[in-house]
Amino acid sequence: MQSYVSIESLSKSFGLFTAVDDISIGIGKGEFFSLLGPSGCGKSTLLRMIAGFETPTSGVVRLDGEEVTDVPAHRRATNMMFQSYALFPHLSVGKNIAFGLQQDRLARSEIRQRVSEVAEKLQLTALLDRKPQQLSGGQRQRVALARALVKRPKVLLLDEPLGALDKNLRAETQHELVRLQRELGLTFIIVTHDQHEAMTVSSRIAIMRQGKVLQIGSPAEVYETPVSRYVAKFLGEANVFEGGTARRSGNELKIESAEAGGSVLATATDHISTSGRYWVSVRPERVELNKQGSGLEGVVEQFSYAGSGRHYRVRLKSGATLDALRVNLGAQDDLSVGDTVFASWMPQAARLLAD
Amino acid sequence: MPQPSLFNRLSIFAGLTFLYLPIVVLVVYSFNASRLVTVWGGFSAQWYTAAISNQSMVEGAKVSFLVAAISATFATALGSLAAIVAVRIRRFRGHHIFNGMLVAPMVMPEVVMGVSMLLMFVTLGIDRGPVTITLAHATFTMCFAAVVMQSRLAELDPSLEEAARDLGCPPFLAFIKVAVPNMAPAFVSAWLLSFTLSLDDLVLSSFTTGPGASTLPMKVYSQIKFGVTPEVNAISTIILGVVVFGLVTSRIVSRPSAKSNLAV
Ligand SMILES: Nc1ncnc2c1ncn2[C@@H]1O[C@H](COP(=O)(O)OP(=O)(O)OP(=O)(O)O)[C@@H](O)[C@H]1O
Ligand SMILES: [Mg+2]
Repeated sequence: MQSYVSIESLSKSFGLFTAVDDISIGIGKGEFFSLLGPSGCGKSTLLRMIAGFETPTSGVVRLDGEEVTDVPAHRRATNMMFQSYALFPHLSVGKNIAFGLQQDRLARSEIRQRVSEVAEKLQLTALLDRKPQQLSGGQRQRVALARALVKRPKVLLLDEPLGALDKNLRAETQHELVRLQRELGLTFIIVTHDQHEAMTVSSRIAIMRQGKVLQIGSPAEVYETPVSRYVAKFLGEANVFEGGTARRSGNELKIESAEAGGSVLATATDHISTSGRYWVSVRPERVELNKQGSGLEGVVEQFSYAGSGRHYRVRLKSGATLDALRVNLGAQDDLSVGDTVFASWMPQAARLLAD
Repeated sequence: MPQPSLFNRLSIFAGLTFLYLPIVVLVVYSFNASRLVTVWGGFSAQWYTAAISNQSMVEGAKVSFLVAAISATFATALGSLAAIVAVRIRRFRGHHIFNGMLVAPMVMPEVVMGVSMLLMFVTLGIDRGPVTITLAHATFTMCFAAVVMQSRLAELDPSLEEAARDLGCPPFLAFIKVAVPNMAPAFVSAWLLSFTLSLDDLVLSSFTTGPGASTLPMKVYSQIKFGVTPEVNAISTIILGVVVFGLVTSRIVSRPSAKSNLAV
């Protein structure tokens, strides 16, 4: 597949510090692509190189087949939505939105028409005469989005667009973003350090750490098949135990784990050998807790009620902790703190990790 | 907030008295009906009438205001350029020295500046008069203007200009269209500050003046040599009024208000 946005061996150093380290990503047309990682991992720097605000130390950026590495920001067919929104305080909402079109020297009638079109789409029609400082946070966010969208960019870049919104508004806006992106058929690249947000909105996610990309894939791929312990723990919760000797029968592995204090089940994979160091990872919602039976023995140490589920922390006999999540189906809770439990899971619930 | 103790209140009172008593005396006696400066003879505004109809004083005032207005304009323009370099191009070679040199004239003895400027004008063969006074004032008030502009520029969100560039504006135009309008209050503030500094300057003006060009403070000073008259009190009070008005307006304009500054 020909990539619409293509980042090839891109690096950026500030003095001796390498903020983006040899990253290559291909993004297809119409994708909603997320850059996800902890603070300081280089997400914004990467986005700013795509926008043209930072000059790469080495590497190439291609947009729709054309190399744009040295094209300055004002001549790139990308538009950016800033984390601070960066609305012009001296201009009204309408003039903020029209600003980009005026730079393109469009006819006045066309500018007016496109502004009112996008204002309607984002429910800003009533606010066009206000100044940015007379708006609520959510309204500012929509103005910033409108100002970028009205230019009909090839790629819309969003740097933590929802960071300043409260939780409910955030969830609503996420759905709104996805709807807009589908409707307009645009390519979105979004920076976030919120894994829920990345999972909710994206077609694909790149997980970054210290200037490098660790894994790229659909939300399901990165969640179900993380490539490393770091990715497994960064994206959602994961119980990770170091594995020891393994016995294979068919596709099933029975692994002795000193860390877990017993034997655990997993599915065999070709690319991870059980002779070197390796780890077994299992998501809390796949863990079953029973009062009797077989599995890893432990004691319920903590319980928290999270509405949609009940979260248990179990102290295993080996001393390690294990998290388990029971979906709230309305049934009476039969476990309480101090109970002895046995934890087990299906072999296909666990995944082997080499790192 | 806790109430200040009696001792603190007394010391504030003593300090303020020390600072402002002479000015209060000046203002009060400018409304004195008596000819004798230190004897109260009832309320009267006659000295203001006398001052306004004193041709020589009015001439001096004209020179002063003209010099102040032109030098403040130059100082604001130059100070803004210096501030842009200091804030935007932060890490060039020798930026520490540049920043130091920018503010040094604030603490440099005025006599030294006066002598050096006089020397320069003489060496270059420039006739001394209102023009040289204006140049000297622009030089000395520029650093104050630069400091005002610098602090405003530093708190301006750099992503504003990036947003303008992102929307298709070349960098220089982005600065003009987005940064400049948002710095407008600082321009006004820097101009007013330079204006008032120039207006009440005596030392630099005396060094760089030529025949026939006297600013108002120079006229007042020369008149005082023949004794303080209530008329001088009146003129001083007017100058004081203009300066206070300028400074207060400058402060109000430059105050980061919710209106001029987007918090988010
Ligand atoms: N102009 C710069 N000069 C020097 N170092 C910089 C510059 N810009 C970014 N960095 C450094 O590069 C690293 C990556 O920064 P970046 O802003 O890309 O992080 P981020 O992943 O966006 O983090 P956050 O989630 O906190 O926004 C950081 O350590 C930062 O200090
Ligand atoms: Mg960032």
